[in-house]
Amino acid sequence: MIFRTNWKLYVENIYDGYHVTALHTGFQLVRLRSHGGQRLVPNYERHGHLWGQSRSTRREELQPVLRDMSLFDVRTKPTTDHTMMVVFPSGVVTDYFDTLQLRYVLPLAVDQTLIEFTFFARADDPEEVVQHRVRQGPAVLGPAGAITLEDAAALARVQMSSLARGDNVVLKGTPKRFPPYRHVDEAPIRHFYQAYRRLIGVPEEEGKP
Amino acid sequence: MKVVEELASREQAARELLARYVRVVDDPDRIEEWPDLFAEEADYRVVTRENLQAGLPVCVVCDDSKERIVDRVTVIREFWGAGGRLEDRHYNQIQPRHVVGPVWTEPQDDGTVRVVANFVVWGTPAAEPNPRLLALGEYRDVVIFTDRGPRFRSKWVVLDTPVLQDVFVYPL
Repeated sequence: MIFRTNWKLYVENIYDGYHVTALHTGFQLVRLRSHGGQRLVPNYERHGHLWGQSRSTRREELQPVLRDMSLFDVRTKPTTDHTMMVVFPSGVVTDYFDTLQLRYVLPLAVDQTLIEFTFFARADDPEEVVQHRVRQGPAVLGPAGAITLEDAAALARVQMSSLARGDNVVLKGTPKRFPPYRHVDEAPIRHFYQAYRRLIGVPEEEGKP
Repeated sequence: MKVVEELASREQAARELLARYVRVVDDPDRIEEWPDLFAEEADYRVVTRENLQAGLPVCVVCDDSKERIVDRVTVIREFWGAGGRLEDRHYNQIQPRHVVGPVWTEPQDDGTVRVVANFVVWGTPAAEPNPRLLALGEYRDVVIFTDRGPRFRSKWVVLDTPVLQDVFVYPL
């Protein structure tokens, strides 16, 4: 799908765990919580990769707001642990519910990004598991997925705000400067931009995080 | 001949169902009527031509049961806050506009009517001067005749593009 945003804002949205429970109304309505877990930026002085893991509420404990709650089902794994990863700078890898997904981030213009969504099953999955993955993956995390529209709308607005004249300062306090982080710390985003500045050769400034 | 008249009237009824469908999906206030356009066993999908031709099963939208079709209205109204308070939405209201046609109808031996139609869906966001192309492609539908009248047994929205051009809120 074509997002109306710069590719770095799309990727930043993956590094950010803070918005998930605030922005994705569907999760709130079914009372899906992500319990604990952490976000890491391994070897952050040299790399900008993201690894985040948490555990979500089991389907049986969710509010049955939808008639078909298989959207939030986990049948193929022993726990409801889920993992999000970014292979810096833009390889998005998702293992959430029974959905195995890669997202390819393809910049089209400074304010347009094509995201290709690919979904996977395991070679030894029985047919009904494949069908379940087919019916679940795009419905939640696909281009027309339940949570995708909210990200697209928010990212379009942030992109518009990048045209504001003068100085722009984005500030969110966090008690930690170094990993491991909680999901609500937006700090992994800083590491993405630090790694990006290293990549494009922006000299590091003394004292600046 | 009676048989010919009956076939013609079935084809006409199928066309009228499609016209009613377009009226409903173009009216953000009437989305609750959308599930009623489908039979009790129903299948609504949005797929890319690319995936269809490659035989890949993943769809953009896979509402392959009446439950899922009803759930779509919940997602539109409750998850995405369409038509509701500004505070519950993250986007400007959008007015959809389907342009459909030509329409081809093929009565089948089992009494159903296959319907194929070209379509374009535009969306005009509030406070913006330009409409946006949301989707382009072909409908491939099957209409059955129930005691409530003609209904979609299946509606496949086949997109010409391999990717979505934009988010869409209301059904295509």
